[in-house]
Amino acid sequence: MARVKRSISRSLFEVPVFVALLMCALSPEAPSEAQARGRGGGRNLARGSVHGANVSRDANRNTNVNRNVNVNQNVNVNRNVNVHGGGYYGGPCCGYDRWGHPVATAVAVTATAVAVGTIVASLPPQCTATVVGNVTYQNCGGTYYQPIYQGNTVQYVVVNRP
Amino acid sequence: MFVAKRRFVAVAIGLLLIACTALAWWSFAPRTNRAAGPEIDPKAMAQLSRATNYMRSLPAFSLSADVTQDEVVQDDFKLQRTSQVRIAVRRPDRMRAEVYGDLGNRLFVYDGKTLSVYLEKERYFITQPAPATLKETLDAALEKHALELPLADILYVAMGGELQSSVRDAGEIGSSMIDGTACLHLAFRGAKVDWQLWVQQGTQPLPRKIVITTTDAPTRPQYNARLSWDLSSPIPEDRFQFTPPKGAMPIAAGVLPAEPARDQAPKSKDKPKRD
Repeated sequence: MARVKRSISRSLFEVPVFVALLMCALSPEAPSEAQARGRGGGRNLARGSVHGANVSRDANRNTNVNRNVNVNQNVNVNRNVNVHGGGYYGGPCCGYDRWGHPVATAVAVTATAVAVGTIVASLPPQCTATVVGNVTYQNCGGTYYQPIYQGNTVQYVVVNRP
Repeated sequence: MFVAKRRFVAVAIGLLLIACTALAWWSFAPRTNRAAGPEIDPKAMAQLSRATNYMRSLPAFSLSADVTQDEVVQDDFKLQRTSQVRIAVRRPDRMRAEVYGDLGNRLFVYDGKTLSVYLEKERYFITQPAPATLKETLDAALEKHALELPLADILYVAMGGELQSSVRDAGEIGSSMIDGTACLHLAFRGAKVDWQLWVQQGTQPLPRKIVITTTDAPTRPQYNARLSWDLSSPIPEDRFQFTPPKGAMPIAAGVLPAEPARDQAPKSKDKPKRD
């Protein structure tokens, strides 16, 4: 009799624990701020128009104008400047510091090249601008950056030598 | 004693279960404060149409605006960015917009053939072919290049666009004074934004204030613009011409590739099966 009681009380204990943990695990998390990003270039800005919200082609769903960028998977990505961590728009992952200043881009060390296709919000120091075929490129220590205007900011895409 | 203790724990866990169930239900359930359901007040819609029609009747206009726009940093801190905007429009194919603000000074010029953008600090400019009307140019810039002109809604509506079809909920709030002018305060809800409009009372129903709240971001950042209009000063033709300043460098407008390295990496699911 005592054994039956104990097993009942055990099930009283275990079943609710299991169900409670399951329900807590199923509770949806708050939507991430990143879900709403994609406006204003790399910055996480409030939407500036009702019409724009209706048209709403968030940046990451768009086709890329820079299709001829050759992504070389073998290039060793310098993690300090790579902005692809959690989506390139918004937040400290994306070339802006915790107060929204563009993070200074590190100059690539000889051993590590910056991967073609890497996007940064600002250039490393000491770059030389050259215009090739009506497009400006910034040569920063042998790495070429192409400025692109998107949303309302300029971002720089690492490209092959033009 | 031991059994009683177990029972107490079981009751506690049971309460936890109920709390978790309630939390889960609350999270999934629609917000109860909207339980009454959206209601489109025809009076608010009529006021919106009145302002829309009035803006469309203007052959040309100039306006200046004080704008604030939240930038979310550190996930939930809303920095308020400030800018001043000056716009001149002549129907159907001339537009000039100047932005002086925290995130850089910009100039946008549309001359009926090309749309040019000049970025003062960076000394970059963009000149690209544009459609024959301002309305088409606005659409093309937004859709192709995610390029949104300042006070885009004003330009869009003035050039024949409409915002009515996106409204899910609308209300007329009441009268309100904006910069010393009596206005009517209107409120609207759409898919990703809630917005408010203050329309000047009287014979010139112009928007004098706009607030747009981004509702698909958890922090609900806001855009706020207060507008002053000039309907009488003539706008010289050279205001609608763009010549790149000396030393300015041409760049492209575009949409950045999204995570190119990952896009091209093969997904584990797509790995070929071994026979």
